[in-house]
Amino acid sequence: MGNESIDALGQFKLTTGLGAFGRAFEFTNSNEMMLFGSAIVVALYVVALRRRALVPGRLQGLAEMTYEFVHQMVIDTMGPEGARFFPFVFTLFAFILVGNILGLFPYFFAFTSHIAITGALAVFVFLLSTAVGFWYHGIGFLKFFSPPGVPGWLLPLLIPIEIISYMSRPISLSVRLFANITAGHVMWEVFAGFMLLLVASMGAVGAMASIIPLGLNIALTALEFLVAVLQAYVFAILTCLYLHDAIHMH
Amino acid sequence: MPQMNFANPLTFAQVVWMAAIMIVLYVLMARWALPRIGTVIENRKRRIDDDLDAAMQARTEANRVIAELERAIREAHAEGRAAIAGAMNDAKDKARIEEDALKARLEADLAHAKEEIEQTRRAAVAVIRPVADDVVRTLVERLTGRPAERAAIDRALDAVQR
Repeated sequence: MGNESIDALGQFKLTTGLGAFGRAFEFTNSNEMMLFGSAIVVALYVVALRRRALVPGRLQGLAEMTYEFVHQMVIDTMGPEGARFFPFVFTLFAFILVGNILGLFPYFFAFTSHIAITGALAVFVFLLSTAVGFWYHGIGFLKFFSPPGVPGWLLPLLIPIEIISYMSRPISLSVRLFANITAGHVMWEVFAGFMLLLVASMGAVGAMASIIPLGLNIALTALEFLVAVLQAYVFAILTCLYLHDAIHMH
Repeated sequence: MPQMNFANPLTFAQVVWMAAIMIVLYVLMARWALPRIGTVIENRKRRIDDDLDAAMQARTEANRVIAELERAIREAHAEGRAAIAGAMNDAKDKARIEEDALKARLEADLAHAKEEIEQTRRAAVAVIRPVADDVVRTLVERLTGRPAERAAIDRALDAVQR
């Protein structure tokens, strides 16, 4: 018992899900959570749209609030042109939000803690916004990398900097989400494992002392809920800002 | 760190499945859920706007009616005052005319009465003059023993008469 160590990273291990189907088609436990989360989102709108009440109930209110929150965010950052990207930003926001929140439940898998997942999302956002830039401005979108009102002799210095900062967007976007979720879950696991170690090594005294990591974990739970919502919001609003840059070039 | 284990085929497999799941979710949201929720919200907003408009109109109408009522009350007051003033003026005029007529009649009566008194007085004087004349001449003749002087008697009587 005494040399038991804390396995903080085992929670991120990918296995296959959905039994034989998963094993055959490499459907992972993270995909299970994605499916579950998406089903929750869809179910919310099924319930909300069943009655279409003039005075919304709780679930309809939640569905409408989410809609209006994302809609407001999209229109505020991108202007009226942003309306066509609203379903995309909404899907992204809802997907990450339920992923983050579901990941907080014990034994559930936090798929946003995987850099492959956040990276794929970020790269898609990056490619989409770049494509939108070229779609709106053609080759002129390249002018985005030379800020206006800069003296000519500075341009050789500035353009590479601009390009590097543009290229680093998907990295910061994906690492921010991945690191936030991973760090929270690791800390949880470490504190929880530390409680077990305390009890194993110090018996009754250790059990008393483990109140401290327990309290920390409780506080951390509140923080992680905040982080879960906040990081989904940050991912969505940065997506909006990148699309804004692509549409308006400034 | 399992996240960095890119040798694990599941690390990429989950991304592929994620793409499939997200595409389905996107289509469901974009084609079905979001437009409908948008319609519901739009309908509610329109309904609220309509209700607000109706309320606003009702208020305007109520204000108009109140203003009209106040105007009617003011007009009625003014009309009443005017009627009272007119009636009082008429009464005054009528009273003045009657008073004037009465005054005129009284003055006429007075003048007439004075005239009668004067005539009576003159008549009386005319009747008394020969008598006084007689009396004075007889007195003077008895007292002096000579016939009286006509002119002097006339002068004296005139002075008395005046």
